[in-house]
Amino acid sequence: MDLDTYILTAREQRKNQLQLRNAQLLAIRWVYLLIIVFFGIVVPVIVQEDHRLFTQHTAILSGFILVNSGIWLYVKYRPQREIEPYQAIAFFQIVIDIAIAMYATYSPSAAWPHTPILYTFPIITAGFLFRRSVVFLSAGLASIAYAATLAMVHIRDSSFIILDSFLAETLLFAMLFSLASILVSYLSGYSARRARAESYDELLAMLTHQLRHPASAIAAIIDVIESGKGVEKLSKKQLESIELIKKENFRSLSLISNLLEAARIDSRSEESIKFRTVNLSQLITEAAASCATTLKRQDDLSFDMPEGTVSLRGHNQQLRMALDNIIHNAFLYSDNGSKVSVTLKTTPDSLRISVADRGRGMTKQQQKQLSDRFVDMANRRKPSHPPSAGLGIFVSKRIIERHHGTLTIESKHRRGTTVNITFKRTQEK
Amino acid sequence: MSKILLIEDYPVIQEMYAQVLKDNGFTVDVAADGNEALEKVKKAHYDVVLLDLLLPEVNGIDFLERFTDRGKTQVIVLSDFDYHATVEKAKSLGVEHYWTKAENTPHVLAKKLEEILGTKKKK
Repeated sequence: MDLDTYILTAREQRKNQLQLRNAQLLAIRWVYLLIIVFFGIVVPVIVQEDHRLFTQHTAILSGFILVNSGIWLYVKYRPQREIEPYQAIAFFQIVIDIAIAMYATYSPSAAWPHTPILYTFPIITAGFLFRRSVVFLSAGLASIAYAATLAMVHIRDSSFIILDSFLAETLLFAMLFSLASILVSYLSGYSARRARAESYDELLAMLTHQLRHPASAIAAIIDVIESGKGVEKLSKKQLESIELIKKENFRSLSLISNLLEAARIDSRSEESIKFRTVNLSQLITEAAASCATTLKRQDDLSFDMPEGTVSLRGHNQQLRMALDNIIHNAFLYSDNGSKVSVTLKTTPDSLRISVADRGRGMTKQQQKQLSDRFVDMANRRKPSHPPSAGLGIFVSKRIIERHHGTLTIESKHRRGTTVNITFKRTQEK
Repeated sequence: MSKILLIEDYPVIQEMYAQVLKDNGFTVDVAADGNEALEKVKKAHYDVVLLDLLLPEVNGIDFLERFTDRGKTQVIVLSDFDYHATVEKAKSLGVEHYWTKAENTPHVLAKKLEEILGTKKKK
């Protein structure tokens, strides 16, 4: 699948999600309308046989139905306008408030203060204009203020008889509206934000895939050349060149992963990633062995791991990425032949991973800059190494923090660096 | 001799993996998209299906949903697409391993497959 096809598919999915949310909103509004019809018309007329109430309520409900039909028709025939559900519900709330305010003002039977409704207008309008979920909060608050005012009127007049007056019904309306607002907020506002973050994440994953594809192909080709027949006929210079292509390709792959991970860190859907039990001992061993093999430094690597399996609740791929970055840096900033030691220590309260090298170390100034994005420790690396994007430590630190752990760095200029990662033991399972 | 179906649409990758797997004694069939793969799994039995996820026409997830009668066939995803929801979806559809191409170069893959199929035979 190419990127264009993917983007077209994603757009189509987004449109479908939007239509689904509009449908959810419409369903809730019609259920709400049915409740009002029941308590507003069926109960007063059938149970109480009050035909005066029937006339009043029918007039208001006709307004409800007209507004609902209008919104429904608009959403149905103008989907390209992409009406967000919260805009529609805000609009609905405003129209209903105006209708009730007018009714309360002109009806001789409604002798109660209606001013609270008037000051809820600006709040709701603001929510509507800023297109944020604050509209639900404002709708809820407006309804509570509304209900409180009505309750005070009831207390003042000592005439609280359930379902016997328009006031009582309005109180019910306000309460139902609050509940509906919360429900719609959950269904549409939250899911819309999450869907947007998820589609952004998916796009990032797609981009990563497209960028990795040629690099993976190069890795496969090198693998075939290196292990194939006739490799012994290649000159030393040719073999060195192949080794160089391999290293550069590895660097390109890790750069792609880090760059995309740095972009992904700001995306909210990260919160939705499920943590599972990760075999930490295995993950550390694999990451260190893979780095040492790629950089041909197997002899420089030493482990100090506890016996048995140590596990942690977390995200396997992300933790692997953080470990890859840290271990890769330890090799990158130390000379061939100098030791890189990877240790895992457990105490009753914590798990600590340490990666120590005896390389160039860092000055205090460099240590301060380290967790910023795009800081390349140009004078830290070996002169033969190409510049880096300076994303590794930034990404690793964020990944560890997302796992409720801490990443600290101890370094002495020209004597080496130790990166410590600590997790609280309570996360372990 | 273990039989493998390699589902991969990127010609260079398809060629490299197929060549190395054949050199390591596997019988390899290739398919460039999900439709072709579905036809092949209907006609023959494979010990392992190596599946890329982003494929033209019928993609990897669609393939997994339609390839239900698997018998003893193991499905292994070999893809650099690591979107967390897709990984979870693939696993829920019975994928035993989710491997990236970047880490599993052809010879690494061949070795892993030998281990998996070897262990399976011992059982």
